[in-house]
Amino acid sequence: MKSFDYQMDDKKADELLQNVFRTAGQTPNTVPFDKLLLRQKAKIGNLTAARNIAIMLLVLVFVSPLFFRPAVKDVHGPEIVADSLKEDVLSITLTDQGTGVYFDGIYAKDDSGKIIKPSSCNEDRSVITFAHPEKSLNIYIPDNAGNITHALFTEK
Amino acid sequence: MEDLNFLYLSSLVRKAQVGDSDAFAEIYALTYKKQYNFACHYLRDEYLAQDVVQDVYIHALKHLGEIKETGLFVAWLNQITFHMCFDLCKKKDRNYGEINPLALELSEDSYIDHNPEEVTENRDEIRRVQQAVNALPPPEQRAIVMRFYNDMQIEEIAKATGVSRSTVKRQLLSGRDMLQKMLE
Repeated sequence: MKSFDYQMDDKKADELLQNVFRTAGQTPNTVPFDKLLLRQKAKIGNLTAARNIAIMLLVLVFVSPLFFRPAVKDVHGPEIVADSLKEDVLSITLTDQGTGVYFDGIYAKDDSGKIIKPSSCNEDRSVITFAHPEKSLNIYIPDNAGNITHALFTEK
Repeated sequence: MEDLNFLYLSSLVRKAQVGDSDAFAEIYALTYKKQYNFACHYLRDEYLAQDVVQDVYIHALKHLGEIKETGLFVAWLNQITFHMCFDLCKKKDRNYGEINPLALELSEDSYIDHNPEEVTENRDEIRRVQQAVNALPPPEQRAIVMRFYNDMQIEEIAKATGVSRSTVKRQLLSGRDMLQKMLE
């Protein structure tokens, strides 16, 4: 509701209205003046609330892209960037563009099916090492989305 | 007033035209604050403003049946208030309104430096100017009269009429242009 510099109190306003009816020779209002004012305030209050809600919804629509990123499904497993074998230690450098390498889930199987855990794991540098067995080694590298990269390393 | 629902008000006017006192009371409740605020700014006297507001609504109630376009009720009411304020000032001061606004620099505040008497020498000319001012559209007429007959600042006119300062300036400029054309 717009506020004015000058305001007449409700009692005086009602008094003037009754003078108006009396002077014009008309029957006065049956609904009390203060009730008319309350009714207006309620109407304006509802309008204001509806307007504020509409503004909030509009703002939410515009700012929502800042808070919600569209979900991109990670369907690719980690990649092996480099590998090297030095003094029977197989060193593998990994990368994953999606959800990231799940280092705790990395394991290998030797020819006999025995599960071998990495001998070291440097998550900061994304490098893992295995003590290379005499024969081949199947290495399984999962990412955080459940994709698994399988690599087979054979004895050179 | 900006919260007024004009369609609703229009329906109230139609009811009041057939003698519904509650509808008229609601119209009064919806509109008296703006009229009172205008009268206070114009007359600079709250008691006189109360008298004017009362007279405005007496006039409105008596002549409500003459309104064809009920949607224009507020504009009609604004004009009644304006004319009643003007007439009251005229009653208090015989020379009120006897200035040629074109002789003043309408777009500048410097008009205050002019002595109104210097530009009111020719009575016929004054009468001609008054007729031209009366022929202006209501917003321009109000702005010109309040600014130059009633010595009100743009800020004060804006507050009285419930519009922005830039709107008042625009009304003053277009009012001056119209007056110039009419008086050529």
